[in-house]
Amino acid sequence: MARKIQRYFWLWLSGAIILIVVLAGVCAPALTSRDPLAIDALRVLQPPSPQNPLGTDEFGRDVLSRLLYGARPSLIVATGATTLAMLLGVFFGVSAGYFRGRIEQIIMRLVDALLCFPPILLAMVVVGLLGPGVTNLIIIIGILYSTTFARLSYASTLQVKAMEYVTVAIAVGVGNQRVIWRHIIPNILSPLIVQASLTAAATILLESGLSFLGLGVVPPTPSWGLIIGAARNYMYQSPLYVVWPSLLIAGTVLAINTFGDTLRDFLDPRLRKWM
Amino acid sequence: MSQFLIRRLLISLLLVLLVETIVFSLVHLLPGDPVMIILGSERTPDPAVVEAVRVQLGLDQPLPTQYARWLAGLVQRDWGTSLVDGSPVWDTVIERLPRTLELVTVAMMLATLLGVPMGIVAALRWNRAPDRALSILGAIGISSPVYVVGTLLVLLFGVTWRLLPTAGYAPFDESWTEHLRRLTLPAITLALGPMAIITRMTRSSMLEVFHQDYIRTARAKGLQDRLVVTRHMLSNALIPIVTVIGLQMGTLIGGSVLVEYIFNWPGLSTLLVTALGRRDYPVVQGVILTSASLFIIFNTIVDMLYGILDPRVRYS
Repeated sequence: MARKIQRYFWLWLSGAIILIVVLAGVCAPALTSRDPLAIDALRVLQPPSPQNPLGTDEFGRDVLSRLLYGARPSLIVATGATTLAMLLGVFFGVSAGYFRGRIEQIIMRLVDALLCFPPILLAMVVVGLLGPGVTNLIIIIGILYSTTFARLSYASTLQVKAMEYVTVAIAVGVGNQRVIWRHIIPNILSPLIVQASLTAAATILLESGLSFLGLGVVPPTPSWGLIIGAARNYMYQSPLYVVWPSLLIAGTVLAINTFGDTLRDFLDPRLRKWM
Repeated sequence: MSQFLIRRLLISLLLVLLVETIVFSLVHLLPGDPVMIILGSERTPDPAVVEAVRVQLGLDQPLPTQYARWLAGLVQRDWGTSLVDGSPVWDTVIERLPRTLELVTVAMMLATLLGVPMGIVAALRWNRAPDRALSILGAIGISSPVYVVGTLLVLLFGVTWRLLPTAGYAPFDESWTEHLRRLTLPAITLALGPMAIITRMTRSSMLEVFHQDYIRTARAKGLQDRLVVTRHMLSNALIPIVTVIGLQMGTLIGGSVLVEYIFNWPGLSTLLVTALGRRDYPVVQGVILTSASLFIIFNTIVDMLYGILDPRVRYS
């Protein structure tokens, strides 16, 4: 019983942290009156002060407001890319698992091939050639991470399709569309939801990593990865400047991962065992 | 057994071929004229330059010819020449490859040598202080991006304590101590994530066999604890651990991109970043082809080990 409460505690805590980060990004204008792009050449790399609670950056911009606004691109890319990945992955995965045959071969071999590339490499190349920006990031990361959804929904579809109630449904002449929507999708959904939260975390890591390399969000728009990349050059003058965004990214990803892990235990009691 | 190994090798060869095809088509799949993409859209290029690049890349030929040439070139180590300095791509890649491999291998050894014992300790002290502490540390390790870890390590060891050099590379034969000093921080940075995952896997895999009858039997017949753990538990828990180590090798190739960039380690990934900045397309192709092939090779080795460790796998 005590462990049960503890489980829920982590689920609630991580959920609350995610909510706070989302709210901070959405309500950034209400939380800080300072413009994240306003340059002040006289107040460069200042330590924290009442005027700038977390100090200023190399252009005299307010670090706190840049961090608040900087949550936006990460959250937009995470939501957009995860949704795209899930839609694409489930569409192709379910099609492969349901229709089998040649469709299955083509789709699953393509997935295998895409999985041969470390995601960041492929993303770097495509962004490097197509140009950076939020839209490109969403499309590329969405396609890259659709592979995990495709594999997952493919395996689950195979399992569910072998169930008697699906065989019966097909036997009494229910159409493919209806079988998929009414019988397959609802039954494969819970592992997909868990995967979605883990993918969102991976997406944030990939987006901020690309921005860190200068291949993601375009400056001067604030983004956590970009801020770390810039702050790295001023570690001697103002070490705290690089610490804030680092803690923020690690904390957010930690919260999303914990949320996904505890959600999995919550949705699938069989996994609980002695973990 | 040999049949299993041969089949596995064939599958990998097919995958390499597929990957080569994807790398080849990257330039054609992207919207727009590949030559314009390579030259960059911000400048208005001179038609003569456009034509020259087109010919240099063989893009003036029909597609099947290009594909055949590309494949033949790959086999003959003719990977094209850099658009920037005209050096052969193969030579550059071969020069850089050992450095990336060294970094990845050292990081993997660190991760395994620390991760497996920590996982065993966590499993044996299940749900007690050491286990709790390790699982919290593990969650942090998995969630911290390599560039955050790397940057913070530079801040601590390089800027605050001034213990270790924070960037650059020293050839091994010039000064091996300097070489190792410069390898330390990048290797630790790269090792942290996989170490957390290996610890987690070892722990759950050990717990999985913890409750088996044969463990109880071994204990009941009075076998020493140490032997129960090493002979009976670890050897049976090994397969998932080996799998995850192999899969992490692949992930490390991706992770090394950012780590090499942070520590200015002159490996494949630093080459890729500069080549992308200069739109040096043949070099980009060469690097991702090499990385993807490495990825496939590691996965093949894991699958084969898997078959050797667990005879049941061979027949499925």
